[in-house]
Amino acid sequence: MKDRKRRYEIFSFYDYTGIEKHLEKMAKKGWMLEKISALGWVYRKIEPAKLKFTVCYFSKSSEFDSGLTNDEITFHEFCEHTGWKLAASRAQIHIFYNENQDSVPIETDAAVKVENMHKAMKKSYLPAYLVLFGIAVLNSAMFISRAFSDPLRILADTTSLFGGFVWLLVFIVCIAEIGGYYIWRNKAKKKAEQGEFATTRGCRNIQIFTLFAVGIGCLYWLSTLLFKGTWFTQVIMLVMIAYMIALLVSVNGIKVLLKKAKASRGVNRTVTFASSFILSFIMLTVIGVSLVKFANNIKPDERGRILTGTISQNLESPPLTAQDLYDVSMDEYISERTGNESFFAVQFTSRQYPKEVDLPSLEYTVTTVKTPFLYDLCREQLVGRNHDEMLDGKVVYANHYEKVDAPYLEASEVYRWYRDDGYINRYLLVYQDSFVEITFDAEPTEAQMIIVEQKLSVI
Amino acid sequence: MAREKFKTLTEQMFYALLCLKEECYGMDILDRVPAMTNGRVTIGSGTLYTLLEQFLDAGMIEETKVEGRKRCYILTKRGKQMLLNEYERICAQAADFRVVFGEEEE
Repeated sequence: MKDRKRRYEIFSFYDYTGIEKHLEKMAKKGWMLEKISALGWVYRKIEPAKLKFTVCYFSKSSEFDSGLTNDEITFHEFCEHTGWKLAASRAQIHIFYNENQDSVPIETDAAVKVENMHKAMKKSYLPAYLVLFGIAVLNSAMFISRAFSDPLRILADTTSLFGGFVWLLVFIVCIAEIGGYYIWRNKAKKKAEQGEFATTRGCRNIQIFTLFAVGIGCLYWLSTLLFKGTWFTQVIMLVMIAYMIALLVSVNGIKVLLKKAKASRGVNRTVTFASSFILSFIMLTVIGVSLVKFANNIKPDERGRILTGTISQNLESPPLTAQDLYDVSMDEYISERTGNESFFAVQFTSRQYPKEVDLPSLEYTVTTVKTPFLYDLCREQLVGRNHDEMLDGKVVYANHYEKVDAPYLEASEVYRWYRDDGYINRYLLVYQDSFVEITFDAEPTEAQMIIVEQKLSVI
Repeated sequence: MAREKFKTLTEQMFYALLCLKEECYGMDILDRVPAMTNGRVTIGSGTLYTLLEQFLDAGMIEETKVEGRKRCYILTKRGKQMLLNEYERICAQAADFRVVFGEEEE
């Protein structure tokens, strides 16, 4: 039988009661905590024992220390004097156990404990959560503003949806953790005035739920990319995943190496922070430049096609081509197609432009909304799209959709783009659960519009 | 709440300071307090560690010698004054008790 076991434990950073109870249960089952690392908590096999555990927050500790500092050793010796032996420590958290159930507790003054704990929390856990919270707010805000300006694209794109979803959850976890700590702290301070100790109840359920949700979301996202994605989209996904892993491993590696080289706390902290900024900057620049180069160098295949996105059926055989409207041959065209699909919507864009200059080009996007409650929002955003230039409350340059009459079409509404002082050949057709935006080179005839409707309103 | 002013002392603070009338290793206080009080008062190791830091910061005790990691402390004038204040406060409390209940009630 194995004598070591690794577990991924989820606890709120301040939830000492939860951690203590958990470790006491583990010891009863014959597992003693030995190490807390970024890759989980390691337990050692022991004779099952009834032990008492205490979690201490020691403000003089640092994540960047190469070994135990003199202060820490003194503190541990103090605790050992009353029978408390160190099980494991990480950054400011030190966990002790005691075989004697009636031993003097490590903390005998509730007020001192609460204040001491806060001093330790201010050192790394609270700032870390605050920074994460800031990033989550920024990313969530960016996602929401994008979702409102172009809801259909976001709704159909699993990558955007997954990204937004993850940041929203991070946002919730940060609020739960920081808020949970301060609520506990207030309660504990009041209790301490009466000389009583407060217990903690962490936000473990929120964290577990979040991890579970992120896991499911991640699986869904990866499976759409793997099974439905075009190779171009898969390459981008792989590069981004590789980037995140490389950054995490290298920054952590630098920290560990510096610890091994016995670098001082300050040196380690500075170098680790600086390297994470510099590395992410360099890596993102390299990735960005090479992806642009890569995208620019993509040549149409032998049939003149460039396919991207995550749905395949329409990519292979688009519902409408320039051939359907004009007397042209596909050989004379380059076709760019991209399509995405999620729970909420399917979006497919086709762009056809001639290899020679004097043939008509054609571009359209068909979006089908799969969730009825989002339909109105999408319709309003599409119809209301407005780039008018205003001066003193007056329109000086019109640039928007205007409703037009097209009784020969079955679409419930037809809009045409109005720019400056006239219509251009861009149309928006509104159907019961889908939208078609199409741009022609020249004004289409009624017959051509009917073909468009026949081909595109049914997908 | 950190009793930075140490206007009044908790029982644990009082006894920790009392132990430091004579030069004493920090860790020894953990045993001396229960011995002195017949086990009525105990100080936890973490609490004592923090209190010693706070006493040092407030100039109530000072370090006398360092042997490896073991540190010796002794009460300063200021610390002695605070103990005295606390003693007088407790005495005043006891005296008030006597006024209310009379000597025979003891």
